[in-house]
Amino acid sequence: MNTTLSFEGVSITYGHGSTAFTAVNGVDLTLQPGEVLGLVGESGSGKSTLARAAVGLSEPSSGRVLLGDAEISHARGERLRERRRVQMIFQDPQSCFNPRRTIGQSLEEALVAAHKREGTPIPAPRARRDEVGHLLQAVALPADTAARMPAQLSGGQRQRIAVARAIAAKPTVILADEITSALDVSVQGAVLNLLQKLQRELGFSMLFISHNLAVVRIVCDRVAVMRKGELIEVGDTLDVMHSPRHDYTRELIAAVPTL
Amino acid sequence: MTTNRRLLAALRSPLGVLAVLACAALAFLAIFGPVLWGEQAAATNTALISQPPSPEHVFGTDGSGRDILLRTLVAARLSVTMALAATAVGVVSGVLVGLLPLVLGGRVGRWIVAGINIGVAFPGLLLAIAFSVILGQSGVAASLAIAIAMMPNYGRLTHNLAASVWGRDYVSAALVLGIPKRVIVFRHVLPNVRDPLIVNAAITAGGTLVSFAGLSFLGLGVQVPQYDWGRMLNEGVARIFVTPAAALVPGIAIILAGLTFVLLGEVLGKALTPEGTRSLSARALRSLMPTRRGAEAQRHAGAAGAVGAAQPAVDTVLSVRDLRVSAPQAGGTLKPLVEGVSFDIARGEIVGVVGESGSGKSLTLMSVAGLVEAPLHVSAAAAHFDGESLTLSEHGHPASLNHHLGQRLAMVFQDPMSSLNPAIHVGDQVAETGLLHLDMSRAGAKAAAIERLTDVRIPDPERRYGQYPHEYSGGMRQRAMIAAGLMGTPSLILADEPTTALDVTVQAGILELLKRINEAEGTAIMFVSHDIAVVTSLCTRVIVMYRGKLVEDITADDLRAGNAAHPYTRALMATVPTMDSPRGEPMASIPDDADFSGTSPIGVIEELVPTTEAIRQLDFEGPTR
Repeated sequence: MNTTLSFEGVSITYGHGSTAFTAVNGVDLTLQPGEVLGLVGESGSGKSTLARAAVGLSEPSSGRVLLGDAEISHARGERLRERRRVQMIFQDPQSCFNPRRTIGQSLEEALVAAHKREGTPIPAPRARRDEVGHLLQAVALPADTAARMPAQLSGGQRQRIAVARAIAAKPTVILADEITSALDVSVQGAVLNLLQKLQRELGFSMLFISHNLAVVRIVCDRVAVMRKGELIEVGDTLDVMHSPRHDYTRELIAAVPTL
Repeated sequence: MTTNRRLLAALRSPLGVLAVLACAALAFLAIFGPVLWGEQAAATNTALISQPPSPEHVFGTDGSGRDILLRTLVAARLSVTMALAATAVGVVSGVLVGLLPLVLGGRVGRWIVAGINIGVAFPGLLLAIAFSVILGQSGVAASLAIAIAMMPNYGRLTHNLAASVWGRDYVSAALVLGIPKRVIVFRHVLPNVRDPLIVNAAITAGGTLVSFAGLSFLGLGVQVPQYDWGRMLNEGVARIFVTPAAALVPGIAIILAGLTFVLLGEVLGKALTPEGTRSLSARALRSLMPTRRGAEAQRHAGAAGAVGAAQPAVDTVLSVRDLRVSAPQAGGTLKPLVEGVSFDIARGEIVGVVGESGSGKSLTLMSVAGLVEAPLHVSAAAAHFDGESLTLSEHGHPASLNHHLGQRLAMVFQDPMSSLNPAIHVGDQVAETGLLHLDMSRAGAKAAAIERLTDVRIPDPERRYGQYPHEYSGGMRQRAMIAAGLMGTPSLILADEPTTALDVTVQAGILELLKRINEAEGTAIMFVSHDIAVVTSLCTRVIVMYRGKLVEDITADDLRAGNAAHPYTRALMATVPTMDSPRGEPMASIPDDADFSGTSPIGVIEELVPTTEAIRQLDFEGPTR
């Protein structure tokens, strides 16, 4: 199965007439199967909005998003099911879990959704609990975390569980939207190591959105730079870092604090 | 504390006990009133018409010779059940209507919202009367009419609450997983908007009771031979000069029952409000006293001995000794958040304070600024700022110091959007310091503010002066905050994570600006951040905090040279990704349960990576399998 995620001439505009605001302007971008592509740019550059178009949280006003050969933007019915193979991890560990449900309930919801999508029988409660335990172990957390409420966990732990929830949906593509920018630098590494290891083992491709080029350099194979809704540079991570073609990219590299 | 425990605690408070007793009394009357006294209350006695109070009839009898007290007690059932039914129907249908736009979305959703908004525009009682007339004269019709009149308000309340929850990431995550919207609404949205709705419903029930009595009073609600308090009022008011009790007693019953529901709403509201609003309990206060006295005693001892740190050296701009901040916990204990932190900042020095969330770094800075408030408790053995002795406490600095501090101390916060007033021109907010603390004229303050805006490199400052905060970018707002601080001649800038919310390129600009101010004006800066790389790139000296304690005080040069002594400092350094970090290797990180309080080696930095076996046991038919 072809699992290339491609954005073809995607533009996203909010509002109408004179108040219209173009958040994303004609972006062409391809995420190859199994690759980790960094997407960098300042706040408001449209990088999150672009990613959200791939999961239906925003709709392109022109252009389309494809998974393999199937269009997953403006999706209905069968193609909607296809779109669930793209999962997203969000930035804010405070709001990424329903504060009134246990971690286990949140993970089970994702597991059940995956079984429904695949048309496989939904496992019995005991088997579901086992699967939740496996998911937690896969993000290096003890299985008894399932009984906890989100408020009882640290930001770092919650982001690890957010990774587990995305994995539970058996994705072929993961969009990671600034997943460590709300965390302390000291716990960022743990979340990223985990994600990298899972990516290598499970083989999904990943769009890694960040404004920290030092992190992007470590995590990503290729990097794309966005500014004011437009894609200004794409290339192999090391090439872009060593010989950036665009002034803004140079500025981004220079702004990374050094010890 | 869980919601249930908070609820129990609230019900045990005097107000809670009163609410429970009043509700129990109402419930008892509603259930048993007609059974116990129904027949007696209905019995007419032509011999006893309009009797004054007597031992047999405590409040006398009405125009048909019936006992007023008994009739009032019996009428409780109809009055209360109709009010509750109306509330239940109104709230439930309002909530459903309010949630509908989220499920349907698009154009239909917008129409529903518009419909709700139009409904809210009509006065509730007017709507109730109108529907009551349409639906006919009966108790049930009146109750339904009130429910319909209530619906738009609940629709709007629910929609507003739900719309804000709809924007949360867990709803987005559920949408991305493909959970149907109607399921999301009941699973993720409703439980998180439930509390304010419950509180409101209890209070509304009181209002409904009064409205229902009003409709009955007007002759629209309950019809003879049935009677509720409104009906009794209707019958009694005509003879109010003959037998006042016939109108007054049901009137008082309406008031008491209405108050009961409002009281219940109050108590529920208290119980359901999340933590953080709790103030210092009397017990916690008492337990605080010894520490406070201790600090006082220490201060006196220091003054008497007149040795060492009593008066800091002249080139010290800020000196703090034994700063302690603690938080009262449930059960009356105190949790220390900052434990005995002492430090000096010399004139013209840039000192960084670094640590993870919860290390107490921001609290340290906020205590110096006098911005930590109760229920937290602040104390310090001694504190001096710019030649003035400061008493650090949760009550802020005394007004007598305002003038001095306003001129000599500047603050920059993490979120410039919430530290600037959105309704006032940015320029006026910058100029305010000049007016308040520097006795400038209005024109003088404006000229000075424009000059400062130029200093912090805000382009086109004359035009920008008259703009609102939302017209500024995040970086420019932060520059404006710094400009406001520079209106005086600050000897110290307190900066609390001033670049954390900013883009890296914008952050670089702000750091450069702070450095330039420091070099040009000799202003000392205390810069708090969780990012040791940012701190090291800006500061001359770095204070490292860990779990409320100062664990290292080191020059930035030594830090860069790798001379950090404390394992925690070295661990923090190791976790910073740089442009030279090796690719493809696991990054260092500090696990949640790491303990640096002893002499633990740097080896506690773990990778926290799951084992390959743990991943392989997943049921995952990814692209590679």
